[in-house]
Amino acid sequence: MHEINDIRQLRNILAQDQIRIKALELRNEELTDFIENAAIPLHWVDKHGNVIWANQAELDALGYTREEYIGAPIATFHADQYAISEILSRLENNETLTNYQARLKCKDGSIKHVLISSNVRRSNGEFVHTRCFTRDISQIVLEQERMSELIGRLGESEARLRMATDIVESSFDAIISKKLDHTITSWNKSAEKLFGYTAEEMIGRSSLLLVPQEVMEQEKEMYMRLERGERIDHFETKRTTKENQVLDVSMTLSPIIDIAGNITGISKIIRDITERKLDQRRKDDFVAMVSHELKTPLTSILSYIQMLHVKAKRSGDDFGIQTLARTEAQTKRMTQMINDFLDIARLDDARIRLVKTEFELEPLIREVIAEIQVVYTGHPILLDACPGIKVYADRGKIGQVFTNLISNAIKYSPAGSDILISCALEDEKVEVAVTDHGLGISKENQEKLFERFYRVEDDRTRNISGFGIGLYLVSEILRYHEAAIHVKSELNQGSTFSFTMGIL
Amino acid sequence: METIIVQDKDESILDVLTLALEQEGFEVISVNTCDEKKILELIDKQRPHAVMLDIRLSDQDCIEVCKMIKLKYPHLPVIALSCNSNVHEQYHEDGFDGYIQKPFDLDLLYKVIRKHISK
Repeated sequence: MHEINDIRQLRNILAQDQIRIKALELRNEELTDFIENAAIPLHWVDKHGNVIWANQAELDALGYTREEYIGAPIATFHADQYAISEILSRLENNETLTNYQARLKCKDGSIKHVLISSNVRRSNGEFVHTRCFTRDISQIVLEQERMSELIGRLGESEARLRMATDIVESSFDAIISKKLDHTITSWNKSAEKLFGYTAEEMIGRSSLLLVPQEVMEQEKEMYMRLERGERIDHFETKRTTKENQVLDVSMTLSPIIDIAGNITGISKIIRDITERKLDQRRKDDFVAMVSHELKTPLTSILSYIQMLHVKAKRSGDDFGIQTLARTEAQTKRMTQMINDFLDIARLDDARIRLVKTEFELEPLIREVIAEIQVVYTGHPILLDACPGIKVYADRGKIGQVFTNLISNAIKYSPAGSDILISCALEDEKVEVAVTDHGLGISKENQEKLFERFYRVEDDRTRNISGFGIGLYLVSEILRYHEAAIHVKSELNQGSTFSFTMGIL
Repeated sequence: METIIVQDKDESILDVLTLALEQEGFEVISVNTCDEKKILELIDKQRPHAVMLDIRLSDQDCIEVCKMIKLKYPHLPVIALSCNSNVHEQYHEDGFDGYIQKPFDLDLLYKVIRKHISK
């Protein structure tokens, strides 16, 4: 009986053991599956630093096959050798690493930022392998880098904004901005100084407060241009100060455009030019006064000469006719010189206005020749191939060009030598040339010839009078006509001055 | 005989203009100020065929007088007389019918006056 009971007990024990073994096997299978297929990359490294096991997540994360990864030194997969050295050394010293940041090399060459948590499994105190958990934080690091870059850029923008604000505040010019409904949104120190209103007084108020009635229409036209997105540079107008003083100002206006491309306001840089305008007016008055004072006696002289000339002609007084004709020509020459000086003053201010008309070149050239020949009889002046050529230009000013070129040709060539004026047509243009057989101009002097007040000074020219403005005026008048003066010359052979203009 | 009112602040110009125009057969009334009242009274009284006014850059008097004359007598030719070599750019804007730039050729002076009188 006892034996039977023992056998039953033994069977029971065996059955229970088998159940436990089955349970353990199941548990083992579950754990193996758990670490092999866990979503977190895991690996073991032996005491020599070689990978001895890695789960699928680790292989997937870095892109290696099991064959490539297992058995290789872990250092091979680290981008920073100092980091893996430190990891291994700390683990060797029994440390547990938590979230150690490192960079791993993927098979495709990319880098993954990871956090490694690891400690060492030991058996009887001996290093068996590490237990490494790797967490991919590449996305987070990239985000952080982007954030830092943005913060950096924001810092730069802030610095630039601060600098711009400083520049605006310290500018000598009044700088203001406003919305499209004219409400002022910024007002710098110079604006305070120029207009007498503080920023507190002006921000939020309409800028039209500063616009005098007389320029209100002009202001509206300007706004239409700005609303079309145009920038307006150095626009001269008037503004009123707090003390009701009207100032002459020069303004540069630009539309303020938002990211979406909409015009949200206007920025204005305003410079006080009252003093400059006053100077201009003083200069204009002076020029007008000089012009008047010099021309008034000349007007009387010329009229009396012409009356005498008529009388001499009626009475057949040849001597009178000749001398009066020359006196008249010299009076006109003096008038021309005064006009040249006045033109120079206008050129300085870029205020020459052309009055263009259609006219024929040849009659103009003949008029100029006739006037010149009254004074200078010693040079045959020949005119070649200019009939029927019509141009659209300022007749008076082009006449001035011919007067100066022909007078110069005469002045700088020996008595009796020919002066030739010729026209050559090409592609709806005419090249007009004035040629002399005179002293000629050296290469060096040719370059400076058209500068204001420049005169060729040498032994040959010392006794020839002139101011050095004739050729400057010629080149400027032609420049206003979008034409250019050219010179070809050889010393002691003569010179040719030419220019090209469009024909009708 | 056609009558011309000639205004200039400078007596020497008035003298020479008077002489030159009289020689050409015009009757000349010379006046040395651009006094609006005086010139309009003269026009009312003398019924001239043309008026010549001296204009200067810094002086707006005669420009104003020209505007008043044209308002009252739109068909009376008013000619600007000026030393300003840019007078041709502005005379029309200021309301004048023509201009003569000083110094002038007498032939041109007579031609301009006759052109405007004959209109």
